[in-house]
Amino acid sequence: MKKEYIMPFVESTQNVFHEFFGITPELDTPYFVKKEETLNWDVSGIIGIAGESKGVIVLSFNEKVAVSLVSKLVGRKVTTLDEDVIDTIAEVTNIIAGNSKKGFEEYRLKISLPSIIKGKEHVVFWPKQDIPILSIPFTVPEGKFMLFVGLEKKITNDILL
Amino acid sequence: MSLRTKFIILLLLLNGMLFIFGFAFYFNNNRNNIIRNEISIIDAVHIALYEENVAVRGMFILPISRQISIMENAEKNLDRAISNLLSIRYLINRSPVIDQSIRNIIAERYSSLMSMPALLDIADKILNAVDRSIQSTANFEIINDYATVHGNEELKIRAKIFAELLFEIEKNIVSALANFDAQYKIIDNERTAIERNAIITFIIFFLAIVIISVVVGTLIARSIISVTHSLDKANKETDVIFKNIHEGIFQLDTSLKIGHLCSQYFENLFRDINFRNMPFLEFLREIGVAAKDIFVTEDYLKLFFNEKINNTLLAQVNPLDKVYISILDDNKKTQNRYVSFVFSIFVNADNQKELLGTVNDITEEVLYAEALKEEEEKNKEKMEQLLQIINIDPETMEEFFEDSQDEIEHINTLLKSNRSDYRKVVNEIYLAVHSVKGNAQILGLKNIADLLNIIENEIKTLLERPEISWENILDSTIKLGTIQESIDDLRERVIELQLYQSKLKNIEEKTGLFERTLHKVMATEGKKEGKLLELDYSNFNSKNMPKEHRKIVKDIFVQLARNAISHGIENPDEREKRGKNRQGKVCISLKKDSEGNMIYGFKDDGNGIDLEKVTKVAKKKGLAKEGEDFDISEAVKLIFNMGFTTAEESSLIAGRGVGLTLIREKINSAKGKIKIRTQQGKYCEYIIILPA
Repeated sequence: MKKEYIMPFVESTQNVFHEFFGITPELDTPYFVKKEETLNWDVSGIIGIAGESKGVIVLSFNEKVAVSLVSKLVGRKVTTLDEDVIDTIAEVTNIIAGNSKKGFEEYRLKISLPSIIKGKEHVVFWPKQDIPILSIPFTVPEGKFMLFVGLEKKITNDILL
Repeated sequence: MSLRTKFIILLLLLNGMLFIFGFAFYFNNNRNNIIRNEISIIDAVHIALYEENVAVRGMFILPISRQISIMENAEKNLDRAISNLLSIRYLINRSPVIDQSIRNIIAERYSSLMSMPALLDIADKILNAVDRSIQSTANFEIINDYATVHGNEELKIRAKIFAELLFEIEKNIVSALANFDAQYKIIDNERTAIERNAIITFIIFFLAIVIISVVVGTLIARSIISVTHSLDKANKETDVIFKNIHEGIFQLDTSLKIGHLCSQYFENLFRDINFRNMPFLEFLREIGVAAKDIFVTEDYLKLFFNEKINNTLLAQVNPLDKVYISILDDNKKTQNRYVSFVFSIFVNADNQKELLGTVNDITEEVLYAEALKEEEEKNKEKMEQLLQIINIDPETMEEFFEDSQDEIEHINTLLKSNRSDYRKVVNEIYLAVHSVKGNAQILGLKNIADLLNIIENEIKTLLERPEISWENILDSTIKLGTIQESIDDLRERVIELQLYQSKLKNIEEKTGLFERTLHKVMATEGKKEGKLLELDYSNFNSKNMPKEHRKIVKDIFVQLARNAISHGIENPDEREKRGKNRQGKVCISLKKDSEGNMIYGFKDDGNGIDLEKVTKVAKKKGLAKEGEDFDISEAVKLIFNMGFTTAEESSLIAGRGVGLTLIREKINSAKGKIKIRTQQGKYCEYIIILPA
């Protein structure tokens, strides 16, 4: 794991939130979470990373934050995690992933299109091995959401992407 | 012969032809002049003769005194003309006829002019005899008249002789002229012939030259065409090579500028650079080669023009064998690649030394090499870790893990609680790292300690900053993650070691090699015969077996197992029919009797010895008489005999009839005994007693 791999996502998250919701999320100190930890997230966007490092980056929201953010965006009161919310979160994650791309152009890294997971208090099963999962909490007035980073050490396979 | 030599020879030939032709033309011209000249010499004789003739005729009517001098003059001219004939060479040499004719003309001259002195003498005397007054004007008639008038008889006679002489001379001259004309006609004919021949020769010669020139010209043209063609072909081939070769090829002239010659690959690789005619060093700068490498390259390339330095040495010091460059890809994006430049010297068509450069994209090789190196380092680290772990007491090790984990957990909790005091957080991380490092050092976990030391220093530098940003915190957190990973790694090594150790223990506890070998043989042989087998060795412990029995017992058991599989144990269906387990069972046992002998047992629950079958075979082989029955002990003796088998077809496993014989011999050589117990359809048991 390298700071340089993570910062583009952090910055792009802040920028996209600023653009979409008019708020710049505040950053809390990052820390590590245990693999098996249940974190009560309800909707997550998952971006796969491959290249000189491999793993996933996950953007997780709970229902409350997701719903209120989307309400703000669509301009009507949304109460549940309906299709609109999922679509919006997917779109936001997509843009965050896209924007962060320029940040690591100089590294041999490729990122996948994000996939969206919806599920009450779902658990993300992280890549094999004992890689530490870094979580970066963002605070917005509606609550918190989290950026998880699980990247393996440099691996020899598929290094040439 | 090289094309070049051929070409030169042909050109020389053509030039030679032209030269010879020119020479022949000149020679021909010259010859014509000579002939003309020689003919005019002959003509002069004719004129001189004619003059003489005129002079002689004049003698009759013109004043004699004057005629004498004319006569003398004409004679002189004729003399000269005749003597000139002697200088004729060419025609004479060409034609013997002309030679003869000229000789004739010369000879004639003497015959015709023989009486000339006499004529002149008499003319003198005549003139002296007349009056002085008429001496100068007197002609033949006047003299005659004078003689008549003066009655000079002597003069009259003289005049008469004179006239006669004159007539004779004239006649001679006329005849000489006629002769000359005849000879001249001959000469003229000959000359025409010579000239005609010469013209024919010349024409033939000319045609020959033309033909040869045409042939030579064609050859030249052909060789030019073939040269052009092969050049064209070579050009095309070079073109194909240069278009398709997967290697960048380029050319550097003496001033180290990139020449015109370069492969498509090179053009594609550096398409965003206008490299033609660009100085190579500038080109290197363009593609982002480090300045120090460029500096060295300049000197390096100059070395190639020094003949004393050999190529192997040059290849070894190549500063561009692995350079990192930046180029634009198809999408105009900057791309970093590793390339390798290799140079060699060559002499170009203008005999000048130039450099041929090749460039290869070695990015993949370099990256793979890096990956390989990384892997090797990882493995080395693993080994080192293992060595380090081995020296540590397991409990201390566990304590280290727990302590380290505690430290990390502590920091993580601190991070989780989101303290806004970044400096304090970083300081805590620093302290934790320091403490873990200390422990690692004490335990001699060098790799971890080194890593921690680096991280500690980095964090220390961070602490010296006036302000610590969130990004710094992220960085420190990631470092903490790295430490966690390293400790996890180490723990994994420890677990691997434990696993290995427990496996070792398992092996010791499990069956010995002997039992496993036998089991393996049975499994494979059974599979071949389609039989299911189980080995029961609960009463057999190979550890109790004397070392010297190991080999012999193994051989015997393997043979017995084979025997059991092919003759004893029935196939699963058959067994089921007989109310037996589908799986055949082989029990081996080992006991020691009171005398210290080892008693090895081998029992299968198969068909036992088939007395009927043995009897049948024995009868067939003539070992027993018809109608005679065997009892079991006799049957056993038989089957231990060489070459006895009940199997219908021999296979690798059984049927060769040597198995039991071998066993007997082995037991004999070990001074042992073998007993067989069998019940048909139930079992067969071999008991082997070997002295310890």
